[in-house]
Amino acid sequence: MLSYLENPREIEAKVSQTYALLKELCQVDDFPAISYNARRALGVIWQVANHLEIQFEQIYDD
Amino acid sequence: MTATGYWNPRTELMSRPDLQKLQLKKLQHIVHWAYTNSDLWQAKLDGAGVRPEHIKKLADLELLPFLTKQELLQAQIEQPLFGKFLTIPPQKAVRYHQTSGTSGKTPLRILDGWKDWEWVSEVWCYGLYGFGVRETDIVYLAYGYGNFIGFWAAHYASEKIGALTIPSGSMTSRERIEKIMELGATVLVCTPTYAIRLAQVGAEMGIDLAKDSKIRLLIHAGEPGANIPSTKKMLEDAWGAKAGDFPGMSETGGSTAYECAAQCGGIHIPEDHYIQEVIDPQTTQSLGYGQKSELVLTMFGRASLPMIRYRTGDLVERAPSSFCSCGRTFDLYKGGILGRADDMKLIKGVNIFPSAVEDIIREFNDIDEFQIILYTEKAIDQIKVQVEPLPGCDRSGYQNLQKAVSERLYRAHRLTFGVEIVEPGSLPKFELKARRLQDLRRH
Repeated sequence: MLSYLENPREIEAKVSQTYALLKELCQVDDFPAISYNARRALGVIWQVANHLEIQFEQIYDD
Repeated sequence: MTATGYWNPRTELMSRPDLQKLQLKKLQHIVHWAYTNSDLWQAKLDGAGVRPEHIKKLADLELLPFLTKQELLQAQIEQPLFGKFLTIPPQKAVRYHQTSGTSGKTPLRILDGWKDWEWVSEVWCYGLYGFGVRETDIVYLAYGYGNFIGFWAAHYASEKIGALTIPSGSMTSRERIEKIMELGATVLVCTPTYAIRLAQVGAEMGIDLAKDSKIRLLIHAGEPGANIPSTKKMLEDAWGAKAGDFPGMSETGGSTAYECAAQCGGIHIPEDHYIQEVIDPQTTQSLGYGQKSELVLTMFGRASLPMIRYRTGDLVERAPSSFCSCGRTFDLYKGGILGRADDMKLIKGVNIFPSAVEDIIREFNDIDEFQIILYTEKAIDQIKVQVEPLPGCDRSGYQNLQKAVSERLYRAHRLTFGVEIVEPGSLPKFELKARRLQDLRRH
């Protein structure tokens, strides 16, 4: 099991990586099922990144 | 280390200084975003002589001008459909909602992108999870859905928590009760008024929902009822469940405060997603704890239509986090949303709040529905309350009921109210946002 409260840096690193990966996947321009699902997932992971003070940007273009 | 019962233990338990640092960071971001992405926001801030870089500390919030609903509506009239406060091209949105139009004005149109819409449900999760909703629950939403935001965000928050989430759309009250019983729903989401109505319909069907249903939590919004003590008791008795208050508004996408499982008599402000101020509506000066006045809010997560120092017109009384025993460091509003600043009526020099009248009316178990009517007689303002007894109520008791209500209202206000008993079934019933005040005065 993972614990944020015991090891916040480890979880924050994983969230940052996931956020960056999803942003990249949003750029796939020849496979709608990848980019559109990535865009939706990015909206979800943004909530986590925002809770953890990793990300404050407003995203509408990705 | 464990922290149970909190959706976001990081911020819900954060020290006040750290919370304020987080608020400042988010405030700076949203002001910069609004300034650089909306012509109207830029003009508004320039007009007030403030630029994003002027926001250096939390107290600099007071440099920012207030925003009113009238400004938002006017912007949409001047540039249909969405107005120049919008910071994104409409094609970037995935969701459309509008205000309920209860005030009789043109509804305000609101768009959300994916991130915004997720944020709207995210903030609802603080309340649902904090009040005790879990993935093992069966959540039944008893309302009509539609363009008004209503409980849409609660629906998505319930799904996010992993609960089985059941929409009821255009079903009748009887059909909804049958479905609640058939599926073994454990959580009911609807307005307080409608929960009372459902309990009455259940009784007509021979179902005692307090005993026969599995409902254990009532999630209420749309009206202040769940924090009016006698209405809360009536709800909890009728359903054999805990009733919680989760106010919100379309302009913010939903939840602006939430009741936690400790049920201290207040609602927590999700201060990691908002700065909420209480101001004197006349002087616009910020007020401290314990003063009943207008709520002004700035929200951070939804940026398509930024709400910065938005004057809500809601009346609140702020209390420190110690008012509740749950451990959250978020401040609260004692008694929830106490009414609308413009709801307060002056009759013969006495301030009348409809929520205070409701609190008294709900003490009487024989009353089904009521209306407050203000009118003028011989150039003097008058107030009367029409009360509708329950269908099975013995008519021989009407006179005593009238007398008891009249005396109780007089004792609380030191003002004589007319009390009129009307026929069962004659007053309007409500599913969303009950309208129980008619002001017929000509001023």
